[in-house]
Amino acid sequence: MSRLVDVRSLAVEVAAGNGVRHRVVDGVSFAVDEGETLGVVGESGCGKTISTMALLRLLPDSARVVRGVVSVAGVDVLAAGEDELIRLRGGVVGMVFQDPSQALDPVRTVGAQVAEAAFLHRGVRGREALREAALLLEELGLTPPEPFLRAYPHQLSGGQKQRALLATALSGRPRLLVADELTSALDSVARAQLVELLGGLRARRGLALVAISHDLALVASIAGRVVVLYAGETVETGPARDVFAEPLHPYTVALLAAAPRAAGPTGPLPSIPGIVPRPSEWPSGCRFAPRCARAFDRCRVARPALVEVRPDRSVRCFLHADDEARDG
Amino acid sequence: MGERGGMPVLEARGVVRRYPRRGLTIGDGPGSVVAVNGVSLALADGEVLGIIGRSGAGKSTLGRILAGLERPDEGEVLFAGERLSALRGEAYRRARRRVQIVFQDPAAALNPRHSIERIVAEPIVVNGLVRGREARGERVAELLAAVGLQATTGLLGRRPGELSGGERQRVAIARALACEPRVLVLDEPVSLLDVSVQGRLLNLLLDLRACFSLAMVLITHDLAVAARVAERIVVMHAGRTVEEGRVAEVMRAPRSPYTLELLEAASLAG
Repeated sequence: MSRLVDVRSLAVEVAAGNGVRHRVVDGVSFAVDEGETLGVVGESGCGKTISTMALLRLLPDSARVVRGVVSVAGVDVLAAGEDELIRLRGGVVGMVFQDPSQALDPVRTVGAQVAEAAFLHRGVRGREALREAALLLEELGLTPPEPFLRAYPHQLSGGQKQRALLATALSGRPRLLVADELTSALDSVARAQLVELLGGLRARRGLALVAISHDLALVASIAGRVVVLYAGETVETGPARDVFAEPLHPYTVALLAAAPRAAGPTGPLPSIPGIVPRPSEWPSGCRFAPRCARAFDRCRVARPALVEVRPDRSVRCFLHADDEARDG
Repeated sequence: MGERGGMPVLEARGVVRRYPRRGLTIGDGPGSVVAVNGVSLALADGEVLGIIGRSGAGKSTLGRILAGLERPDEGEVLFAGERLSALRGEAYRRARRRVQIVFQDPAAALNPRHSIERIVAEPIVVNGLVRGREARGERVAELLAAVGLQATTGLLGRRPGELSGGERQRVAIARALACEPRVLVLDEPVSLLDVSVQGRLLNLLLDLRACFSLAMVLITHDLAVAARVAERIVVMHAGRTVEEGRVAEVMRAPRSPYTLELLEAASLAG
């Protein structure tokens, strides 16, 4: 399979108000092959959104990529010119964000917004563009499509807006869809329906998918592979099913245990003490050590590397690096 | 109530709430929307009742009515056996104070320009619950400690915008507790929080219930959240209750298709 996205050792700095620059992403690596699904998981403040914004150079002016490689469909994104970026944005990679109310233009009809990307990226216009938009809305479950084409965003429910937004992202016929907390604003049933819809879309279009979420269980139900981020770096990667069944990094273990499950026991939930440290407060050793129940002396002084501990499983943790050293 | 016996602390009898239709929703007809359509339920003292259902089922409207923020068009809400609509003056204010509500989005529920200290102290002052500046300061510290926050000068002087989402929700709960409620209505209290923070907040609710002998109404679309905390659940659909029972029994043998739908959605995610 050919590689669609390659992000390696990405580091991003953001200027704080007082002129100080903080590193908010430092050591994020992930790759997506054509047609593959990747889940990016972590708590708020782990660098999930910044990392994916860097994919299309959509970072705010205050942020700057200071290190690393970002390659999309063979294009070096960090060095690409404006024309090339416009082609990538929507044409190769479609993005949908958490809050559809903010992502849709409130004063234009859904039809006009869906048809726009088809025109920009494929030169389809007029009646033909609207006909395509209608088919797309129908595929996304907005049926019959005609009233939805004519509707303004405020006339739609949350779930309908999310589907309309998906249609705008898909109308440029991208090869990769990036969905940032796509289902967080929806109720649990609408969430399940959207997950199913995404699965169908992917299968029919051979679309690659990057799903970003704080919910590891949700991601595992969509994605083939997962990357777990913590405090600006990748701490674990592997096939979603394996990571879900047997998490290696103590953070991944804690993240899974912390989520309430319908089938789980009642009563108090295990929890992760403390919060994700701010970038200015990252500890010098392992960044998870202050919250980690299994941390030992070395974790507090040395920073572990991301090590492939078994085929297709990488983890940034001395517990497992030591296993490797002993076994090898 | 049932199993606990005694008079329910909070009760809804045949509650109906209609809203005029506004704007143009797709597939709209004329007239009004019946958000809550004849709901009756009872909450025993110290009980945790989950109200679950999809978006638009009428859960939040019911929550607002139970907390006295809205009056029902038909039906009655009773606090400790007394009809809210029949209470006047001080008696009405006292009953209202005993039922507090915590909303989904603490960022929207807390005044962004007030310090944390002022936010938590305000209901104490307004209701005249603790007299004297010093005693009030101690009470604020006590309430913040109860929700797992340390009342350092740093925290007291901060604005809500300077806190994390989980911390903000704790402040909103501390503010509700400041009124010395007997019932806490929690409307999707964890749905905007990270999964890792959700668990801790739910644990906090369990602790608070034990410490303050509170009854709780937990409104959520997430059956997994309700199952974790509530003893009994009511399932709502289109303004009506479609199923009611002990959590374990409802989950084992759901009778309504709407419950089944929620159960399937919850098991898909984990």
